[in-house]
Amino acid sequence: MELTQTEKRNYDLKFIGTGKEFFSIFIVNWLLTIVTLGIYYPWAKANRLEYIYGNTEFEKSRFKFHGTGLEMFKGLLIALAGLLVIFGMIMGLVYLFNSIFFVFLIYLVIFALIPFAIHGTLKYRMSRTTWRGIRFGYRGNRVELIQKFIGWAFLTVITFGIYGAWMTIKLRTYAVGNIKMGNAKFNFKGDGGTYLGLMLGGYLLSIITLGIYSFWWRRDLYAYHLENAWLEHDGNKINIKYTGKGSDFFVTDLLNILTIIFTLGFGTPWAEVRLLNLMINKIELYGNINFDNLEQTEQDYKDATGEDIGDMLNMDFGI
Amino acid sequence: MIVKGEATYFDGLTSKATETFVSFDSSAQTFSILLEENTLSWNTSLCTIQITKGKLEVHLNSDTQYFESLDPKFAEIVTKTSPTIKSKNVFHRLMHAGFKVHLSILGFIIALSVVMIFFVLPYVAENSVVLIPKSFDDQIGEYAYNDMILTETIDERKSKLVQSFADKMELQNQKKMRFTVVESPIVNAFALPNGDVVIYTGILDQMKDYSELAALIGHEVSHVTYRHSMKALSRNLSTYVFISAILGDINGVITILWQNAAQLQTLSYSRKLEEEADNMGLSIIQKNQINPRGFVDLFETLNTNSSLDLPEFLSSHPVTSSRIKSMKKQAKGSKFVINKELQGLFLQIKSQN
Repeated sequence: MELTQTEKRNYDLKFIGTGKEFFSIFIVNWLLTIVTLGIYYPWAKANRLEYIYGNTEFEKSRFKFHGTGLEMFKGLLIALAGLLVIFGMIMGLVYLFNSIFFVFLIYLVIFALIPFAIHGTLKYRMSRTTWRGIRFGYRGNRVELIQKFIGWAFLTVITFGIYGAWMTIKLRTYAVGNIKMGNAKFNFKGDGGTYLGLMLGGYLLSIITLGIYSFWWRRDLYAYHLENAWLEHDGNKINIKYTGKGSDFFVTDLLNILTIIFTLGFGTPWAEVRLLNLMINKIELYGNINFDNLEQTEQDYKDATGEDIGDMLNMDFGI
Repeated sequence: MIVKGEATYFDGLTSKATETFVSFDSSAQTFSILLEENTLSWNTSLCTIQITKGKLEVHLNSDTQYFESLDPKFAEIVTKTSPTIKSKNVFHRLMHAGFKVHLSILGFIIALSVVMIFFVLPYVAENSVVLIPKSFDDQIGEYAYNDMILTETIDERKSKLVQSFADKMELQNQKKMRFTVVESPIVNAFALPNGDVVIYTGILDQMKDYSELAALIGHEVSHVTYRHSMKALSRNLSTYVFISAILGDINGVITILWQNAAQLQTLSYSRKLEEEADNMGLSIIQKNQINPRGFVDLFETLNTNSSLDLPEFLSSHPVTSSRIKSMKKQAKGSKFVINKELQGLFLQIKSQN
């Protein structure tokens, strides 16, 4: 394969959405959700995601979210039916053996659903996202992830949570490492010890400073996740740097709280856009990948069940 | 009409951008994309057309091919003459209506919510109480009674005396009333929906005449007869459910704000219920030929003992001058006789100290 070793340079990434437009999405979604007694929810979610992805520009081309409300609605029905059957079976056991002991199975099921939801969400979201017509993709294996997840969780429990830092890093390494952008591949390399230090240090400093440090802590964690990831293509690389500061997080949060309170909550879209600006527009990309050469390699995947379970578990992956 | 514009085409196989020209035939509703080797022809019915921030994007449905154009004239004509862009679905049609319409929608939903919360729901909830079986009142009342009585000391003797005092009165009650006197300095009493009435020794100690106790009993019995607890419960619950359903997904802050606004409404409703209980209580007193002055005295007792001087709209039990005044007016000219039996029982209740 021909290697295209190009000069290193900076790449453009920016969020171009506005609070006003996002407000319109929010209101129309709200109206339709009320009128349909909530059934519109998956469509509302698709509208929101389409707006956010469509207003994120990388190298002058916008991302596109192809997912539809119907797909997520179907996923929701499957997820609900599945959960109903599982919980029905558990309640059956409780009734049959007349023992409340079986209720603990519910916790086990919810726990087992986490890796299931992570897998499903990544697979669905990635395959339904394109940039210049090239699909993203997630190549992780569901069974493998569930096995690993159970192992990590076990270690976390027996180490009284300390292993949680390593678990986060390993999960991230696995998830990010399986994300593709056409024939370009994402990677993540982090260190559990460093991450534990970040967690403990941030926690202690936040307490000592009566919470003030928490903004800098959040910045550090966000930056750690980004800066240890990179994109690879044809032997070329792009590295990520996050230039946002703790003070930016502080100011953004403060303004957002004021916005929400003084608009009686209806200014939330402006607050969300302000946060997206902070999260996206302060990302610096530097490297030598030639983005004219990405090839379509990823399959379409329209099953949103995992995505919907993730939604039910209130998980947000920030992608 | 045929328009032509500069465009960038992506073939869905690689990320390579191809700078080209696209022409649009508005009568045939077809895009023609000029490529080196061939010309692609896409009918608008097969495409998703969108224009955001001056950029027109035309995606081929169920495919990854698309082209985009920054040519404003081209984009304008495509959006104007292509029917698919407007008639796509309700969401897009509403989005196209513009910011002012969206603000109006917000205003409309808020207005509708206010009407629902402050007028429609209270009315419906209050009147649907008849649908709740009366046995539910008993269950909930008994539950509440058992729960609170655990931590209290009952004055058995006074309870019995108050019970026989009440039994001597014509109470127009539908439920069997059970009176419990609890030792406590609190100057208050309350009724539960199952017919249990709890009276604190604090309020008994303040009473000077049997007519005051009769007034208190009349008032509390009325609460039970009119199912006031159920009405308040039904109202609170329906408002809470409504607010959660309408605002739940939006934002936590806004839900709390609305619930507090609705809470003020609930307090004013409590005042209405108190008034209703006063009125029915007074009619019971009059029927029993007891001096209605008891009500006025009872209120004055409560009034001097209320530690907080809340503005009327914040208080549910406003023993204010307005309540006293209206009671005085209503009590005027009613006939009464001295009831020796009740007086005797009342003296026994007082004497134990």
